Parts: sequence; C-alpha cells; structure tokens
Amino acid sequence: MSRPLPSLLPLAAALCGLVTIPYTLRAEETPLRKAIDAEVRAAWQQAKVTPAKPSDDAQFLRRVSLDLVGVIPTYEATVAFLDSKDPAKREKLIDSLLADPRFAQHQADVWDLILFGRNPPGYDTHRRDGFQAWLRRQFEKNTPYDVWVRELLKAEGNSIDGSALFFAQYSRSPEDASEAIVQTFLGVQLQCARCHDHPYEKWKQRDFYGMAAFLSRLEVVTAGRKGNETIYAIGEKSTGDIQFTGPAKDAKAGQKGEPVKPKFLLGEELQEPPLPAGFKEVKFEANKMPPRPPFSRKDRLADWMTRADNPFFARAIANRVWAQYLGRGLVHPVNNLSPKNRPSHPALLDRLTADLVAHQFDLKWYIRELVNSETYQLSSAGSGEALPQWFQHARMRPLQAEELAESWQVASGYLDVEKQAGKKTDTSRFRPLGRDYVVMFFGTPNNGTGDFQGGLHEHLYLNNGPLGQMIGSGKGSLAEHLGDRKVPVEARIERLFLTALNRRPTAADREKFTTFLASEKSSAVDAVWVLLTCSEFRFNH
Amino acid sequence: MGLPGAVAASVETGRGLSGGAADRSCIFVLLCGGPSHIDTWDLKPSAPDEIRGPYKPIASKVPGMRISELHPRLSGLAQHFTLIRSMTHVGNISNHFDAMHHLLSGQATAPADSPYLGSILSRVRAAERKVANYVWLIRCVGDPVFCAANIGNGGYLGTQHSPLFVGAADNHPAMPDFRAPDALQPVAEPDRLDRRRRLLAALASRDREVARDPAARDWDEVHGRAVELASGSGARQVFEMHREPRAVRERYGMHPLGQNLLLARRLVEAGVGFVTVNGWTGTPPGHPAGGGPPASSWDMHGSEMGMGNAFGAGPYGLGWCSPCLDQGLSALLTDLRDRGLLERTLVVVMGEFGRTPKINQPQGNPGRQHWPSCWSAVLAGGGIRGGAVYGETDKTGSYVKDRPVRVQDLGATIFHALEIPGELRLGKDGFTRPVSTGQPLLELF
Repeated sequence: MSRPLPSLLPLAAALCGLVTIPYTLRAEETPLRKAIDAEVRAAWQQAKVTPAKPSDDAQFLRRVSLDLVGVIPTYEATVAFLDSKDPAKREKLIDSLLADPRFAQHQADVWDLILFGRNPPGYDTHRRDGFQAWLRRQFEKNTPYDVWVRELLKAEGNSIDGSALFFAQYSRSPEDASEAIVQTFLGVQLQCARCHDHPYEKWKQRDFYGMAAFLSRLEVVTAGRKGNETIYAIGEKSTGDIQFTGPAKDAKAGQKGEPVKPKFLLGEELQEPPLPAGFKEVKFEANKMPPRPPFSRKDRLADWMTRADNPFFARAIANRVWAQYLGRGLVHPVNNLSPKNRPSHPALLDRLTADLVAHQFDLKWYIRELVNSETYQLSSAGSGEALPQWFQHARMRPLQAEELAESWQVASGYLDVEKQAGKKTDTSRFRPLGRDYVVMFFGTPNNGTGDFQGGLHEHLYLNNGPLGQMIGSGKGSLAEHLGDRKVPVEARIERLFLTALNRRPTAADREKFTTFLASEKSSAVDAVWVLLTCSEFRFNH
Repeated sequence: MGLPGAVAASVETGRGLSGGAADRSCIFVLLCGGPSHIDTWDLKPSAPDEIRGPYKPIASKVPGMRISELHPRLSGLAQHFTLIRSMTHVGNISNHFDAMHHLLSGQATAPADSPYLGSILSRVRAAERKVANYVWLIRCVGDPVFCAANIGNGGYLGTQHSPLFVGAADNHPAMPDFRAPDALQPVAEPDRLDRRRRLLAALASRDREVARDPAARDWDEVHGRAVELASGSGARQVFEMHREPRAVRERYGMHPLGQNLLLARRLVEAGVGFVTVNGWTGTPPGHPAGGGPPASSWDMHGSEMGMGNAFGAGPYGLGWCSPCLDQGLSALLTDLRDRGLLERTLVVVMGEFGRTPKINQPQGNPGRQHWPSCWSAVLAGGGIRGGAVYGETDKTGSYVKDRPVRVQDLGATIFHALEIPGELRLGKDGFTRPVSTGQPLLELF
C-alpha cells in the first residue's frame, strides 16, 4: 500500500477530537495547578454540582503520604506537620515526599502492578526482582516516561539487570503482547478487532494484526544462569510474519494469502529493507545473549509509540496519571481512549497533555502539579461515590498490599521495636507478616471489574493471623505506650490516634477509648488492633 | 437435617448478582493424577493382554453398565449415577497442570487467568457470604506440577473467590488430631473478642465521614461479623469429625478420601456451595509411605516413578485406591440420598485425564502413563437422572467412538445443574468471556 505519507496530527485530531496546541509553553500561561482548578470549577457550575470543602491538615497529610511514598507518616512527622504554622507547609511537604527515596519505590510498585499484575504467567515472571530494580532505578533518576517506556519496549538487555522480562509474559503470542502494550501505553482497546472488524469503533482486523506484526519475530531466549536463577533475554529474528492474511470473508479458495505487514495504527505500513541475497536466519544459541537483527520491527514500534506527536501516547499517560491521584480518568476507564468515549473535561485533558509533552514527559513534575491543586486537596466527604465523576470531592481507594504492610509497621511501632531490639532477622518488606498471605488477601482488592470487594478471608486473617503478634507489646511499640499507666490517659489516647490514624481524636473517640482503657481487663493491644483494622485505616481518603 | 448454630454466618452485603441457585451445591471429587479408565469404569475384557489389565467387569444394578470388580458397592448404587465414558481433551494436553487447568476452568484452551468452577460459584453467590462458599479439601502440596495454576486464587475474579483450604498430607480428617483451618481458630477468650467487637462498632459510627462511603461501610460490617465468627464456635463445628457417630465414619472408611467425603457432606449441609475433594487415599495401614508425589494417589505410573505396582495394594495401587473410592463414594451417595440432599447436591467424580491403554512393564511393576484422549467421569445428584451410560470408547479404550464430551461441555453441564447461566459474563469488560463455552448434556437430567 503506497501513498504519500500524511501528517499524523490532523488525522489524529479529526478522529480523537484533539485540538492542535503548539507544544511550547508560553510564559504568561497560568501554572498547571491553577488551570486544573479553574477547569474543574467551571465544570461544577455547568453540572450544578456542589463541591466538598477543602481537606483538613490531617486528612491531607495522610492522603498525600500514601499517594506519594506508599506509607503513612510517623507520629513525629504527624505532630510536626499538624502543629506547623507555615502557610506553605503543604507545598513543602509535597516537595519533601517527592524527593524521598520511597517515592521511587512506590512508583515502581504502581507500575509493576500495571505491567505484570499479581499473577503473571510463565518464565519466572513471578520472581522479577531484576525488573523491579530496573523500574525503581528509572524513578530514582526521574528518567522521562517516554525514555523508559522506549527502553521497555526495545527490551534490550536481560531479565536480571533490565526490562527484558516484560515481553516474556507473552512469549508465544505477539497478539497478546500487542494487545497489552496498545492498551497500557496508547489507551486503545484494539482486542475486539482480533477476531472480526470492531462492531462500532473504526478498528478493523487488519489494524489489530498490523500492530501485532511488529512483535511477530520475538523469541524468549535463555541467556544464561545466575546462581539458581535463569537469565532471559528477548531475541528478534529477521524473518517471520504474523499468522493472519486478512478477514476470512475475503479469503478465496485455493489462494494463499499474504501475511499482514506491520502497520502503525492510523498510520502507514512499515517500510522494511529487503533481506540481502543468501541471507541465513540466525539460530539463537542457548546461554548466550541473542544478537540484534540488522533491522528490528519492534524497535520501530517502540520509536513510533513513544514519540511526542503520537496521537495516543501522551494523552494516555496524562490521563492515566491524573486517574492515579484523582481517582478517575478524564477519560474513563484509562485504557479506553476511543473517540466514542469522550473526556469529561476535554479542554483540561488537552492542556494536561500539552504541558506534559512540553516538560518532556517528566512525571514527577506532573504529579507535583496535580497534588498541589485545590481539586486534589478537597475533602473526601460527599456523595459516597468512591470515584466522583466531577471531582467534587476526593476519591477513596483501598490501600495496596505493600502500603498496608508498611503502614502497619509504622503504626504498630514494629519498626521502633525492631530498632530497640538491635538486629533484624527478617529483611522482607512485609515483615513480620508473610508476604504470600498479605499479597493474597490484599493484593488485588477488587472483583475483577475494579469495584472494591473485601472478602471474608481477609477479615479472618486480620483476626487470627500474625497481625496481633506484630502489634504485641514489645519495647517501643504503640501498645506499650498505650498501656503505660504512668502517662495520663488523655495523652496516651492522643498519641494512639496520631500514630495510627494521623489525626487527633474527636471528643467521641476520647470518651469511648477512655472507657475502654479504664477497665483492667482491656488490652492495649486490642485498642491498637481496632484502629489498625478499621475502615479509616484500610482506605486512603 | 442441618448443623446446629451459625456454622455459616450469613453476611448480607447486597453486592452480588441475583440468580444462581441459592440452594444447589457441588462436591467435585478430583482424582488427582488421573485414574486409569480401563481399570475402573470402562473395562475392555476382550482386549489383548497388554491392554486389558487384571480386573474383570461386574454387572451393576443397571443392565448393560459393567464396572470394575473392585467397585461392588457402587455397582449396587448404579441407578443413582450416570457414567460418562467419552470425556476427551481438546488438543494434546498430557501434563497434569494444563489438564487440570482446563478441566477446572470448564473450558478448553482456558486463558491463564480463568477462574475455576468453585470461584465462579462463589462469585455468583456473593450476595450471601458464608464462611466460605468454596472449600478445597487437601491442598496440593509438594510437587507443584500437580497444582493447576489457579487452584489457590480466583483467577480474574480476584482472591476473595479463592477457596478455603482445609487439610494437608499431615493434617487430614482421618487423623485423630485433625485441626480446622487456622483462620477459624480463636486467638483469645470470647470475653476479650467481645470487647474488641464493641470497640470496633463504636468506631464505625455514622458521624465519621469515612464511614459514609459504601465500600468502607461494607468493610466495617464484614469486619465486625468476622470477629463474631471467630469468637463463636459455630464455624469450627463443621470440622469436628468426632461429632459424627463412629459407625458413620467407618462406613465412609477411615482413610483420607473417606473422611474427606464425609467432611464434604457436612460442609454442604452447612451451606457451602462448592467443595473440591482431592481424591487422595493416603497410605494403606502397615505400609511405608509411597515413593511418588504426595497427595496424588491416582497417577499410577508404576515403577517408572517409584510408585510400585499400579495393580497392587500399595498407596499408588488400584488394589488399595479403588476399594477406598468404592467405600467412600458409596457411603456419600447413600448418605446424601437418605438425608434428602441428593437432589440439590451435584457429585462429580473424575480425574484430569485417563491412562494409556497399553500397560508399561507388564513384568516388574506395571503401570500406565497419561492419556488425554478419553477417560471416564461419574455424575450423580443435582438433578442428574442416574442409571445411564453416556458415550463410548473404542475396543481398546484409546479413543472416543461415540458422543465425545469435551471439558467445556462438562463445565456447561455442571453450570446447568447449579443453575448458573452459561452466558454469564464475569470478566473485566463484562462482555467478552462467557463462563461457559460448551454445550450442556441436557439429556442427563
């Protein structure tokens, strides 16, 4: 198919409703955080929606700590923040959290879950320390998003030091790999067009297989061993085509079809150089890194996908990261940016996309703007919707498994007990709880369609599992502080709430807990347990 | 005749689907390892020596249905079950892992994240949360090759639909000190748990902003009930095997399979929707433990895998395992029938595939290898008419000759018995993947 190469941009604009915005930020433009608030406020007026009031300092402190570093603040940090009279304290808190090394770990956790989920199949993907370390390094260095995605898609290097393991999940199926990366990085649901032309979107089967063809030459190769771990790498051959020659209805009996060639979505077919005469396909040798092919289809795909002017890439990430902090994408769900699925705030999405591109896909800059907005800092009290459509109040989300385990460590005082005891026998992130149970019960807190549905299993675990032992009354633990009758009960209860829930107790809280602690038979461990397992702890709100 | 007290604490959350039989249950006896069909249900007395095996068929209560001579009790109950002889895998699935994955998903070429039958039932009945809607008796331990991928999780339905595992090779109901799952053991005296519960309830007051969110409210409610559940004795009672009369226990047989079948009956009486029973028969009395993989008696390879004679009386021999199954299953069927539970309890008994018609090493320790092309399954209860044979294999028991039943057709049949619509879409997009892609065998009902 040869015709002059049209510019991608107007084509994309026509189909996706993208307004062409020059990609340079004018100096007099309002800062992004203010633009966000203005757009959201305008939409409230139009939709006749009453917003919640701003969050108080305690709500904000806990929420932004969990969102940025994946763990609640300590008792000392809580008191310092709540008592500070600095009018700019919220902005300074955000800056310090973004500079915290735990930010990189938390981002790595979030993206690991997006890229692999909790139960990836095959090729040792359930043990991916190397990949997770690579991911964490990208966020430590604040590598621009387009740069590390390109590296991920090029999959050079091996599974121990680099990102090669990502494609290993889809080892025998370029179609599955293509489906996943198109959804994740372009926000396009192409998979309906796998078996037939899409019934109501414009995607045809040729579009689906045209994209999958870029990955049809990949092979997972064993590149060696390190200790008792196998090292994998992604090899690419120079021959091989996708197993699809066109829709069945167009096939003619007796005619051998032509396999679909790689074709960029909404764009041109890939121009490939012909193979040299007498070319012999390489055979990948075991326990050796595979050689690079003279021409790589997947590299062309990686380059095209991560360009700033790719019609989908920047918009998809701007929308996705918005959803991570505000609960719901401007296009919802975040992996369905189809023309028929209109954004709730079209001009805002355009602005977010343009600014992110102008800042070279610097996610840390973008996140800083998002969490500094008044919209993000609203209280979560309101309609009871977990993900409010007009962002008229903050969203609620359950804590992830890693966040729960680490927050319990802080709240129970386990880390202090550990420090006082001197040596650390267990180095797992989830200590002293077992990783498998915590991930099993709290790792995927939804019913498959995104709604939170806690099961009875997890409650039984909280009741009877090692959580009670973790809380314990070791030296330095919260339970010990709470049970120390030499300290007035008022002060003890205040410390309990500031440590466990990062806020001061209400009058009702004080009364109930005073009564509870007054009884000789009451256990301080139980009071701590109740706060660590109640809904206020379980959710980020 | 139910069990006393709140063995199954109902937790209403109103978030489940409507539909799905509120009272139909399934006991799925998974004969892990894959029993030889030729030596149990589909005997070929006129086949040549190296195929026939040592057992003779005996007549049953149903004219024309002849089964292994090692199943005398079951032959007398043949009017209660239907024997499918034409089970067949789509594609060449010759390892346990994949065969179990497709069988338990009720689909051929099941994707990696497909939930198993029990998880689907648990999802469909989410409106009424019991202790566990899905229980798995005897966890596959040791060699992971025997554990299909999603046994311990709910596939794309999430971990809250994973089964409650009860028992292991070293803690099973035939042992005198059998312990119920740890999750149901109380950590403290009831008094203390009650104080906890009251403090929790005080926190979850309507005044708090967080508590107004429906997800948070649900959480608080289930949390409170869980404390009640853990402090009450109801949930644990179902696992206290000493509550059954000794005579009943002995009728099932004092081996892991027999006692697990009895426990399965107790769980179904308590309202559990889906119980998978690992068909492990344990070690014969006086015998040292077998040399093959644990908790997987039916994978009778013979001396190839150090298991001894497949036709002998050792832990991996039909001479021990078949009588255990005969005893336990016949006790279960009569027990369910006598208690009026058979109509609403579907019983499925099968392995993940059959075994090779040709016997390996007829001298020495004979055995058979994996054979996915055809094998047998037994269905009873849940509306199944019983007293019938469905499908046929050829004269050497190698391939299906008549009316093949693929794993997805069996899955569809099970869903039909449980009144779960096969077109139900429970996946993320609520559109692409129906729970069943097969044709139910309606003539069995």
